[in-house]
Amino acid sequence: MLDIFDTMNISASGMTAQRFRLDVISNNIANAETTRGENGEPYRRKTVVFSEVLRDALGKSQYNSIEDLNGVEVSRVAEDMRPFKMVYDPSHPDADGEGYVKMPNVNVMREMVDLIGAQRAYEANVSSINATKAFANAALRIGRG
Amino acid sequence: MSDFFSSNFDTLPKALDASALSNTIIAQNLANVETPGYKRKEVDFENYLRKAMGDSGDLRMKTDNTKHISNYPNDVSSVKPRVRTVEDTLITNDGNNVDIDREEALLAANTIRYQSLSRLMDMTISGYNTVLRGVT
Amino acid sequence: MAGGVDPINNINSLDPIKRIQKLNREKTEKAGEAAGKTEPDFQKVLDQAIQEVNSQRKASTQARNDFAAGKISNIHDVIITAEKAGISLRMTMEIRNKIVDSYKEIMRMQL
Repeated sequence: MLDIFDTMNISASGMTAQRFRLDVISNNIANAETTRGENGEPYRRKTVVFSEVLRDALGKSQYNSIEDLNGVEVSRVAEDMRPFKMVYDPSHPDADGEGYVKMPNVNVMREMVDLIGAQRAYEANVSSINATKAFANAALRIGRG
Repeated sequence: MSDFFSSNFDTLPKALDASALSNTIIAQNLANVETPGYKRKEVDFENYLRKAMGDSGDLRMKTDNTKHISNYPNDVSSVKPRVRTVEDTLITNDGNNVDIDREEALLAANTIRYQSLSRLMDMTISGYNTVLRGVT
Repeated sequence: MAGGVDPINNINSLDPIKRIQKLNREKTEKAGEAAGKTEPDFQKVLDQAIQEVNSQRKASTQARNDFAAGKISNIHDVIITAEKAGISLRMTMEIRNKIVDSYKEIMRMQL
């Protein structure tokens, strides 16, 4: 049976994963207008992919016992391969011959929604840690009368 | 369990174990609230205990009731909480079926249940201590 | 209420303070009687109290098991049942102590 600390580690992994996701979302928002990135291309939106962590990483996709549960991790950061946005703005320094600028494929509204989702998920993991603390405290009171 | 310790010393610790297990499972569900393909898990316990306690809810064996086949020491001692993967709830595009609202509600309810059970365990033990303190 | 034993059946309806006072009164009355017909009455008082405690204890144990099995959803029901058992138990302890004190006092008087 997983003990208090193992259970808290599960929640902590959730917090770490959501924080990472938050960073990626913030980076998307910050670069929503970056027309020229490091490779000369506009900034491409990034997303995180989560995967469940099981202790025995020998390719097990189905857990077999409670002892396997170990939270979550960001398995990779993926690039959103959808096309860049073409925005008509002839005055832009990076405008092409017809006055169109290739803009990052970032939709700021969508990023804001994801941001709130990440925050919500983060806080849910915090609630989980607090609950686990309450468990430990409740157990310590048994027999105190 | 001897007759000195009431059946509460069998049932309450088991219920506490099941509740603690639920807490861990809920933690895993919440950590994986955005994991593609993740299916939430749940703990079964209370219905197992209810079955072991029989229809009358009495843990003693009823020798005069032929339908009542459960025998107190065997049934309750074999009751164990079990983890089950829930496949049949609403899922999002990526195959994840964790409803964060529901899961947080379960978290709160289970925490209260654990605190209630540990309070009952405390009262059970205190009852014995009251008697023993009175014996001088 | 003159003389006699207070029926313990009313244990749930009497104020604990009043009950202790009644026991003290009984103690004094019995000490006045002196001659050795003390034990059977004490026995009956104690037996009745113990019976009450036992039935409360059973109800209490059952309620806790029911809660563990999810049959009761209101924890306050279980706690109140358990507290009643606790009160009965402590009351019985008190009765027992008073009886022991009375007995000791009677024995002292007879010497």
